[in-house]
Amino acid sequence: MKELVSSIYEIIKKEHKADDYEVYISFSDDHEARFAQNAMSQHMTGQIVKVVYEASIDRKTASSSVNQYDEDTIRQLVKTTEDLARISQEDPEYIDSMGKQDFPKTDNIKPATTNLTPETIVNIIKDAVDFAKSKGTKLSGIFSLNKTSFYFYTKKGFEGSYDTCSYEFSMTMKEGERETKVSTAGKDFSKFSLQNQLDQLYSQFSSLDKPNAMEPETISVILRPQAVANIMMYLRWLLDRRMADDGITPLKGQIGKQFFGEKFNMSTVENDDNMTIIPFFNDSVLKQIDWIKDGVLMAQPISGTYANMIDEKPSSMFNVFIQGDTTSEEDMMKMAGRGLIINNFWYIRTNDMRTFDLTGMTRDGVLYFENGKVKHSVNNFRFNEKLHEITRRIMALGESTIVFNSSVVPTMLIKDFHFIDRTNF
Amino acid sequence: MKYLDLAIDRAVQLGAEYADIRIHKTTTEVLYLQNKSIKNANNDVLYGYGIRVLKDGTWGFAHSSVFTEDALLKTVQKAYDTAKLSAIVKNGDGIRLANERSYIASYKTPYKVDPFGIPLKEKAELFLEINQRMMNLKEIKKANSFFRAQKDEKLFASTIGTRLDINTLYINPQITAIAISDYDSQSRTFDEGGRGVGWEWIEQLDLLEKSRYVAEEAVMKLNSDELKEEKRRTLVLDPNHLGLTMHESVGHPTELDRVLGWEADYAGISFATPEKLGNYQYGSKIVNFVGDNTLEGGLATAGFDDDGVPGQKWHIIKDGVLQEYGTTRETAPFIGVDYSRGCNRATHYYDQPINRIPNLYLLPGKKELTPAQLISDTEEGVYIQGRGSFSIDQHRVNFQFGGDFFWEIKDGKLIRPLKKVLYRSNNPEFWNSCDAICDKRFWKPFGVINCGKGQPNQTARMTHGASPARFRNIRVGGSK
Ligand SMILES: [Zn+2]
Repeated sequence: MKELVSSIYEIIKKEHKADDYEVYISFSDDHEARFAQNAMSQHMTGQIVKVVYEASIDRKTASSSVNQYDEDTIRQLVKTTEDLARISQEDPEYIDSMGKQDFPKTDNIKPATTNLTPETIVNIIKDAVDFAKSKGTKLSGIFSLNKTSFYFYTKKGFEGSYDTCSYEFSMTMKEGERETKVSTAGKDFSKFSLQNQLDQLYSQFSSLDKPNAMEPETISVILRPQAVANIMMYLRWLLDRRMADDGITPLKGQIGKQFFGEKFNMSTVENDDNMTIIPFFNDSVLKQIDWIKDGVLMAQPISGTYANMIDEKPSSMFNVFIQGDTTSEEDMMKMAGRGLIINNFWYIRTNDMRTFDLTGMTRDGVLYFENGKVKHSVNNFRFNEKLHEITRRIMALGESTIVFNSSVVPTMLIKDFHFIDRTNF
Repeated sequence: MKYLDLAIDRAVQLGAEYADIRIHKTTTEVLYLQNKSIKNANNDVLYGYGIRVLKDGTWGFAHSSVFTEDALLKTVQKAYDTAKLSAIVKNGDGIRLANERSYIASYKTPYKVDPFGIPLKEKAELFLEINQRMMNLKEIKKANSFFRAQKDEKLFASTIGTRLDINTLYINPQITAIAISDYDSQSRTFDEGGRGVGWEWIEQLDLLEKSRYVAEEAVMKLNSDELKEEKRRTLVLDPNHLGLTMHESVGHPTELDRVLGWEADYAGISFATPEKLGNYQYGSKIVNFVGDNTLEGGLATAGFDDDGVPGQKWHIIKDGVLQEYGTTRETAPFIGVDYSRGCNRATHYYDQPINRIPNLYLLPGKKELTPAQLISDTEEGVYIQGRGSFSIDQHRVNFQFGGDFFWEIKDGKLIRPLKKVLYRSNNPEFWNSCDAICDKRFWKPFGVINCGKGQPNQTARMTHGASPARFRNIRVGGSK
């Protein structure tokens, strides 16, 4: 692979006439097995290649990409891009490409993952489906496996590469109105246990019965990690420094201030046993950063362009780590007395960026608890809530766990969560 | 092309029950400008082939971007092996494809001016001028413009003898002005979605003129009031807004794969189950929805789908009653139907096609009715233009939509602009509350280019359309 990539890069180095450039080359092997209603529904496999060339001439920039890498195509890529750049317009926010820089060593390649075969994947699905059938339920989901090699070069001297491997597995169990989901992801398949996934799935499923009708209200909620990850994911985007300074989000001038709740800590980490660690991207390299500490906004992601304009260093949120604690769900139920357990959220959108106002719905099962004990399941709800205000109402945190492949988040107990509407299921 | 025959012959030799190959080249040009800075000027090409093999009642799909005989034959073998492997997890005999004949045909999007032939400099100058003009208003602190052109060149062959040569093209211009004060920030956007046409559309649109009202209305919106309380109100919705409403509340729930539960793990299922066909009052009697993959300029218009089934036009909702779904050769037999409506589409060469929303639109009202008459006949309500935030549950029942611009209606007049308006409704309440639709003179298409579905996610495109319509007794208010 290295030789092939070097030969592609050599052509670009030889052919280019640009003042500055960036080159990305990636090879990604994917295997995706989908199943629905207890049968395989789609099964896809192949390699996707991408060669991206971004060129700047007289502070005018253009970029092109191809997925073929014969010499003629690469020559053509360089010429097309540079022709485009020449007839583009000068960029008042132009910056040079990233120079030579060190970046953290990553430990992303795990033999248990790279050695996974299609046979093993299909057998996992077969075992899971057989289990679902034995319980009289229908199972749908996906097992996906990815291996990627990524290379990045700039004219100003940055040279870097990394390899990753990862798997994701999700299952939705359904029977009549009862429906719930579990999912897991990570870089190391040796940590995967189908039995644990099935146990969790079936315990969630068994806790649901025909949902009781419940009207929306303002009530305490225990958000399980999937739900937390899906809502806090919005901070990856909304925390941006430029959007704050422009007045598009409410974070203008909030650095150093207690904008979020005291129990809320969010950072990016350089190492993790479960998450895939990406060590660099186009304008910054991975660093351990505390974005929010004890509710105080400590730092914000800044693009290279904007960093140059305000004389700061660029930074990106490569991954999300939200600090947890040790409170169990049982203890959370006791603390709250009465409330809802939310397995997941769905279709979250911003109502209003300036106030961080979001809407979304519950999914995959909602449980009602009273006097510290689960009573029964209830219908799904719609919420309208302001993201930072949610963090100010955190009462307790559970242990952090991996959700998706780039976030580690805890269960959260939030008081006075604002539901505004309900569904009939 | 020899690769087509080579792949199909090998698949037959191996014993495939059915197989097809799609050689697919996607060329995309994107131009994105923020204020006076060109943030993206991209030209991307994705070229490869995907091979689908049905064996023992299950699918295998393999893709490659390597164009050699050896790589092609290996890819066929991989698709075949993958299908065989999948067959250990199936229900009964597995998948059976609906009946279809073979076609030897070609299709090309009709257009006058190739958007790829317009020099970048000319495009960039136009959009820089647009951004500049929007920023001439002092409250406009951000001006964004976006242009996308995409062409898809596809060669398709299948084991039933179909050979297709399909060339589609679309463009999508968007401009946004953001007005910002110390207290708020509000945007206004011009976006009719994508359309299957050439650069001639840009010339007709007069975007420079459009940029004027976009900027002015962003400022109006910034300085406008919010609705104080949620209550039942009348809504008048323009076609540009209805495009998204129908996409979410009619398009997705009538995709047969969702109805069958095939997207249960992620995109979701549908409340519009088969026993409702022919008897379920989805909307009021004046509500008629048509699936139409022959629509001129439609984003899903391509002559044929990725099953090799020709584009068709059919009623999905007729006189308010759920009539039919959007189907594929694979999904139709599961409800006892032996023909496909031609809704199987893949995004890129490396995607296995899935059941997608066709071009789907609301037929105009049969009686003469202008938007002015519609509003003058409304005592109290809100007129919504354009798309805002949108969220709907995974069964496609309960939803909340915003909009891009709002007018309060009182005694038949637009009395003041509003901001941060949200309405909440559900199926079947919403479409049953439709009591008036303007006539065909006011019908307008709206193209969606980013419909996400599937795992891994695929982004499809289709066109919706409507005349302005009125909905009574809907919960309208703000966020709380
Ligand atoms: Zn969609």
